[in-house]
Amino acid sequence: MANEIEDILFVVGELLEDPTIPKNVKLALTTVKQKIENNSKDVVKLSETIYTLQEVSEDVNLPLNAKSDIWLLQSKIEKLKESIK
Amino acid sequence: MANVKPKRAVVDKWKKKKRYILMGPKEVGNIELGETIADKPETLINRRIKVNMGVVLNQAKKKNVDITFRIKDVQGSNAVTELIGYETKQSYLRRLFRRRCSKIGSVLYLTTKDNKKIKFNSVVVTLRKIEHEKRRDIRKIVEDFIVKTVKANNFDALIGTILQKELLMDVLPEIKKIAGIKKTEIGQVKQLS
Repeated sequence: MANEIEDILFVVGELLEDPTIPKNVKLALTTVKQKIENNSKDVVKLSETIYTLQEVSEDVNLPLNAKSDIWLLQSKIEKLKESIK
Repeated sequence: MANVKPKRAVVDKWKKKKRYILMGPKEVGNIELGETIADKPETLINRRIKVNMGVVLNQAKKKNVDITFRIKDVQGSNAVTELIGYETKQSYLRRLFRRRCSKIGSVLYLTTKDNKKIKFNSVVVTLRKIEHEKRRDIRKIVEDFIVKTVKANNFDALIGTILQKELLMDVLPEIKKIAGIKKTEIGQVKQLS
């Protein structure tokens, strides 16, 4: 499980460093990062992050590469959630 | 009366075909890479497969790396593969190069310890734009290091070390003395026929 969290945080960190990503998306990603760092065992918080990412992935200003990374994040968080249940 | 042609027996070629499991070499931990279809095992030999390492190893850190394998042998329902190439995605590399930074690329044609000819493509990205002399010095250090490493290793071992750690990290302390470095990447390592 520690590996999965590490992986998620790595992808989020990479997206936050990317200068092509819009500010509102970065803001959402920072909240996702905080929630995963602090409440990685809370199913409700993990669901919240999935919904936030879903909303963010529909942003028109999001570059294509970031979109696929966000989908990857969603699937990884979903997996993490299932393993906790 | 119109000529009636005799009916041909239709053979479904797909029914004759079998599924073969693609097995990775020991450098990637003998993992299962996927499946392929063939009617005869001989037709499988020399077939090439490009695989994303992030998906296969389930590691997000390797999501920008594609590895090419070639089927060298068939054992039962397993197709045994060998490594023939390593590639970092162009879309990722393109994102690294921004304004006000220098890109120091080098393409080398070398021969490994086991006499395999390879193309080695590496890239160093600096934090600020730097002068030509500094770029030349950095390129020389990196190229010397690559030549030394390639000559000392077999092709498989070379790809194995690249997959395990960032190869150019060893040379980083030396080139950091010349200029601030943002990233060092290996663009491509390809076996030439």
